[in-house]
Amino acid sequence: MASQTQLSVVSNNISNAATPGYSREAVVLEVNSPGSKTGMNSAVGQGVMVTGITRRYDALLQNQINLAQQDYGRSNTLSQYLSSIDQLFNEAQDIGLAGPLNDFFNAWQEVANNPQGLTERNLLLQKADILISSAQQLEQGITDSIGHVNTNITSDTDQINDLASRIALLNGQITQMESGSSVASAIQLRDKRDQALKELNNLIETSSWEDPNNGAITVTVGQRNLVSANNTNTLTATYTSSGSYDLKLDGLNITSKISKGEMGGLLTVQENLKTDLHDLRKLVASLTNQVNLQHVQGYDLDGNAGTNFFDPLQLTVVKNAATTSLTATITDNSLLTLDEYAVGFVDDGSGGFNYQITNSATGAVKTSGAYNPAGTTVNLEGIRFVLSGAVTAEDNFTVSPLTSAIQDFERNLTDPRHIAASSGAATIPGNNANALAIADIINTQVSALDSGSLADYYQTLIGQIGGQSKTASDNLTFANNFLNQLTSKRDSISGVNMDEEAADLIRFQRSFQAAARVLDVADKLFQTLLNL
Amino acid sequence: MRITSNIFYDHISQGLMENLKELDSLSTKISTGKKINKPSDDILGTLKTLDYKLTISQNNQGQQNIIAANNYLNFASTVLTQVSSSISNLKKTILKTDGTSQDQTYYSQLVATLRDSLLDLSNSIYLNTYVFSGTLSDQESYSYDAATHSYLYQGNNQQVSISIGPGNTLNSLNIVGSSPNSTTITPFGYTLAAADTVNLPSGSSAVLTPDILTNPNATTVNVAITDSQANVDNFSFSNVIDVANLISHAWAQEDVDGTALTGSQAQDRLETLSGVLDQFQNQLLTVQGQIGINQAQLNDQKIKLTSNTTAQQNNISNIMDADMDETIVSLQKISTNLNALRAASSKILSQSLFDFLQ
Repeated sequence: MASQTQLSVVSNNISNAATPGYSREAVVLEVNSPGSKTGMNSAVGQGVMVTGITRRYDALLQNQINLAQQDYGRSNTLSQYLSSIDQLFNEAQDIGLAGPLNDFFNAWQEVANNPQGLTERNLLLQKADILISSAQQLEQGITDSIGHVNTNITSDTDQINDLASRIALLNGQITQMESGSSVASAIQLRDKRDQALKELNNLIETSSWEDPNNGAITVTVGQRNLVSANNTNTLTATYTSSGSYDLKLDGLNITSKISKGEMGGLLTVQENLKTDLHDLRKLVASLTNQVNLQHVQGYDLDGNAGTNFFDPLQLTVVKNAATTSLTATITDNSLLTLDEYAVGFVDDGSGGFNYQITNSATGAVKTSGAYNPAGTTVNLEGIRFVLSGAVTAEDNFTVSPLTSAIQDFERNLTDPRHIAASSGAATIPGNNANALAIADIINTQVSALDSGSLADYYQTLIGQIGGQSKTASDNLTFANNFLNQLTSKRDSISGVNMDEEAADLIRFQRSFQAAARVLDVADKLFQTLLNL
Repeated sequence: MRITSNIFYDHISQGLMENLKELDSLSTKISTGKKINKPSDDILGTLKTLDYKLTISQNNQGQQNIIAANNYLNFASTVLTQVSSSISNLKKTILKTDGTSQDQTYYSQLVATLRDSLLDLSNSIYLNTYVFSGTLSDQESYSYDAATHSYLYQGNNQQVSISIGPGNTLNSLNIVGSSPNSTTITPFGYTLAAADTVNLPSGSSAVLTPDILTNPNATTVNVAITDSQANVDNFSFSNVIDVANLISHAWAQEDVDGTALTGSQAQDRLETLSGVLDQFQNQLLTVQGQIGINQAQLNDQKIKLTSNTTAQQNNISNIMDADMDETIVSLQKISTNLNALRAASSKILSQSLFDFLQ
């Protein structure tokens, strides 16, 4: 019987040699004690008995693999998304904005060379269109990636909840089985649970520990229980007005605590992409503003004062939670800092409220003052904020000149004659001073761009994107190698070696044959006795 | 360490994957000829390349601007050479006369032809723009004003600058026809800073007085000729076409409005204007010299830009271009590794104790 069991276990090992997460099993044999026999009989053994089936398993190693899996999940996700953005801005292959940007400003020099030439003017408009479509394609590429990230956050949330349910179910089954005597069945369930936990760790950063009393594991995410015994809490992903997702577990927002696993990678990618998008929009907004500010100082071929070359920047007001109303309009483009603002309210301690306008990026308070519900007007950095209506302390808005900077990036001029190349109405058409001034904008330092030029700022953006991709790629290589090493180590302990199993197969077969032979001899001896 | 079947599979699979990744990377380098194929391959290299490319783009545009400027200056220089030739011919008519009435009519007509030629030259058009009109390049430089019987400058004295490479500008590219500013030498307008007296062979003297108020875009020169006792003639001009017109009418012994002149008045005018023509020739030489200086600057700048562009292209090449010999050797090495791994894998994976069990 023992040999049969051994052969069954070998057979199971061979069958599951390629099953992910399977741990090699072995039969635990013990000498069958003579029991209550006395005298000579007590020295004769009673054969062998199977006391259990164990799996070759190292809990510490498995825990290390789970942690490495979290790193791998994060790195793999980061590398996957950031390398696609790296390709989107692949200036090494002349893909990106540098070419169209240079061509646009070179076209202004062509206009300066022949200010009254309609050919040069039409060429400039074409170059402007190419610049616009290039910027819009880049924005589309990033927003598509953000959309894909968002989709994956929700699908990963579903997968995490599915895996949590599976682990809870396995917890229940393991507890039930191990409370009885069917040890062998629980081993396979534990393998399944380990595999599910590994998959979960690939998705999200978890901590887990086993209750020695019942064999159930508790899994926490962001210091909240995801799985406890056979119970689960549902992880939810809620889209916020700021364009990102909040992860909530057991009623608490745990987003900031998730940094590893695929989910941690997705949340980081989302932030990286939002930063890249913000910087790209800032570049385009600055370009729009600088060109428009200079263009309106010039005169067109008919002696008329220049109008905006591009459609002017528009403010986007997002009402996060507010009973008040806010309108924001640009009053002076030359004063714009291209910062984004958060408008909120603070209780003044005497039954009223003070408004407070802060820089969204730095959190620095730009201005504040007493709020009048009948109407409060604030002029700040070229923007007029008009607030009115009843207010609560939760009311807040975000005001951005960047959100629609690329979406609204369009050419305002349609007639090439309206290009204001001249710096004076009386000196048209040969005056090219304004065209030269606009052509020089690409190298002009702009305070809104951290006192860098458009070219400098774009280079910084490329460096940032390349750096993100390079770091992600290096981290992935490291995480992958580390995980592979740990997996090899685990395989050296828990994996199935077919040669070993083949040897065992022969050994146990021989053992079975020998046992059968003993039975045969015993049978013959018994027959001899009967034939006396 | 215990070796299991999965370890073999995993190691072989990882080894194949690494080698294939390297093979892909090398084949990309060979197909593009570049060792940097995306920013993350070499961030610093990409940023430097981006900077070099911007410089090259601006250099190329600067060279385009230089070509355009050189073409303009060549055209202007050619026109001014013709103007100089016309002025020489004008001067010759004054020097060659023998004073017969037949000569006077002939020279009057000849000078009128030269005057019209000068007018045409002053209104030369290059790329649909009037070359000598300042920034009012859609207007003729000079046109005849019947009310004053003179040729008036229609342009302005605005100078045009062009960019000739990153951070480099050529100021005063264009040649303005006329200027009220006596420090600006122009080819057609007369430049006179202060009153000047010319002693004539007849014993009379001509006083040339600058007037910058009558015409805002030109220096009008009022000429008063006096003999030993009294003023005998007055006339004025502001440009070489006016001068040609005065000479033409002087040959016909009349003022520009048709009023008759005495023979001595006409002769004094011719003598006075002969000196003025010399001044115009000097002005043309100065302007041609300025054109030459500008062209020299442009050519110098063009050489600098070409040299700079070559240097930047070399920099890009050093950063971006793959060393093909090295890449091909690496490719060969990886191919050999890959083939060895495949052969070894095939042997390792195909062997099992089960194969030997009967």
